[in-house]
Amino acid sequence: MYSKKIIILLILILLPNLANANTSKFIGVVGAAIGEIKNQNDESLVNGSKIFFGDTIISKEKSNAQILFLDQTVLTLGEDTELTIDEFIYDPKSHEGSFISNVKSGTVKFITGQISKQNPDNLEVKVPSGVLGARGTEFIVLSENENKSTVVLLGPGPENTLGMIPGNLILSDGINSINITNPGYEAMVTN
Amino acid sequence: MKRAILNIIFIFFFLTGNLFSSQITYEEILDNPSDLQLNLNYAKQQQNSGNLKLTIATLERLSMLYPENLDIKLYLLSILIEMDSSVKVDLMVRTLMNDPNTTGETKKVIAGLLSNTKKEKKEKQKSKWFAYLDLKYSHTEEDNISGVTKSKKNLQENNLLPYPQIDNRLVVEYDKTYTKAAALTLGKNINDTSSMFLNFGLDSNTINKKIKGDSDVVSSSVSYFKILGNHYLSPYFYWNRPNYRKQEDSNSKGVGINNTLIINEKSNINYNLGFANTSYDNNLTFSTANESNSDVYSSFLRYNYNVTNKIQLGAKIILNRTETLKEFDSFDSNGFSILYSQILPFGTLKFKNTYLQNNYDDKETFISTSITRNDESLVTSISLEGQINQILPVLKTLNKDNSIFYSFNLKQSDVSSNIANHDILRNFITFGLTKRINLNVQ
Repeated sequence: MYSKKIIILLILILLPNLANANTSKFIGVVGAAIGEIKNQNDESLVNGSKIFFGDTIISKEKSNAQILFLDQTVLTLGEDTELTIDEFIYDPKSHEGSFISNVKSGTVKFITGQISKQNPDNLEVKVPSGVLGARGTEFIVLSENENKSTVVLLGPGPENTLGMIPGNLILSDGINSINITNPGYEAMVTN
Repeated sequence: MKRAILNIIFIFFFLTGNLFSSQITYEEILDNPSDLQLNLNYAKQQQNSGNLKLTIATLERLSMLYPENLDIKLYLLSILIEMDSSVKVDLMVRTLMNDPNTTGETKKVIAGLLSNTKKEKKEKQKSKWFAYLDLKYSHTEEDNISGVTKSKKNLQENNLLPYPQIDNRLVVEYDKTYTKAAALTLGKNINDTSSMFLNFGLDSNTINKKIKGDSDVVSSSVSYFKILGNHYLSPYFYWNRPNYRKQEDSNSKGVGINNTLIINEKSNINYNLGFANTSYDNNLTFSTANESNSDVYSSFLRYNYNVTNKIQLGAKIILNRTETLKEFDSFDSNGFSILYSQILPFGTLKFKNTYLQNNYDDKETFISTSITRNDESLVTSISLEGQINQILPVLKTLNKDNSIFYSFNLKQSDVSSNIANHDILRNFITFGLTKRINLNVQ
């Protein structure tokens, strides 16, 4: 009888903390907010606003934003875009972690950071038409509608003079995978 | 010129702020993502330390926050050009050119940056070589390696004799062949529409039971590739030198063209014209080996139709002529082939069926004085090939760069001949693994 009460008490104590651990974890900041940028609570986001685990970032018409994450991943949102951070686990010492973002609509440019550098498989981009395992230095994801999403590799190119490893985008919809090695080339995921 | 432009841009930032201050951390940027001076210093520091991704992200952010500042855009453009990101460069140039704040002077700077890059790229492309090495292991099982006839009999001087007694040797039917091969491919981009390839290969084939037939094969080829409108032209030359144990050695040389005409998105025509010569080495053991020397004139015309982006159908007409010193070994060969291929989640599946009719010029009198040989061969194959992690996702960690390929092939060769000696059925199963190693040659 006592043990039951203790368990219930523990659950009551731990539950808010667990919920807090997931929802209030600071994962990045808004580096630039141009126009009308909101979160899931319809709160306006401005330059320097903090981004937390589970946040949805919405850019309205004629608006765009750049989000800087703790692992140095940088996302740039185009206008009319909705993005949710479904998972962000990052160990600043080992640089290991996992990053799952969900591009519900619009256009998001990714510049990959430490999580992807450590293990490219740990960067996952969800789009309405599926899930993309994308590895690459810089790429754009366009979620046009529920049935079609496009991914474009931006760079660096094979002729870069900066000593950078040429961009390589491997896309997978869970069954098929495609490898893009030339900047400017794109792949589509359809339902 | 480009260096000078970059220097001007950097001097501008140096003069307008405390550019080279102490090391700035990413955490400081998270706290002050829109501070112009701090972020410019950070972009420069990251560029110096080789972390171009953060330089670009920072300059893009500053470009968003300070859209009227053309110097930031020029700085970003210079990095993008060096990064060889044509999509971004095009977009950036278009934005700058359409910006009413862009002065004639700035436009000149942009033009200078672009023209220098083009020149540098052209120079680089001219001399670019690329190379890769394929290491292959394959294993073939065959149920009739000695070519035992369907009737188990051989025709000899007009008499049908039981096959194994012909030369009193043990006849092996089921056997395995192990192949270890290495092939080095060197390629050079001559210009935007043409390239050339050199290939050097070495195969080592070991047969398990059969006494004859083990071999090492040295091979080489050179080919040229040229795009002329919708016509892809590819002349080639090859030379092979097989070294058989307990058999005659030979060398083959071949020359030909293998061209493809693109009709539209869905269909293309591939055609080939070739000539090959095989010369055998005479020696004490094989004093008449050169009597088997042959010249082969080959041609085919193939039509490919893409049913979808994953399914292709092909039909091929084949016409060949083989000439040797012996009339009974010279023949015309004609036929057709059909091919079906489909890209599946676990690899590319191909089904191929080739029918050939071989009509020989003369009778082989020590076999038959009345029958001139005519063969009909039907070769059917099903193959599956792809990345190893397509069939075993657990191997993804082993094949991170997608450079290990598998191949699996089932083949049946059914030859029906009016001479029992050539009436042979063979079945093959082959499994192969190839590791491709990219070698950077500049």
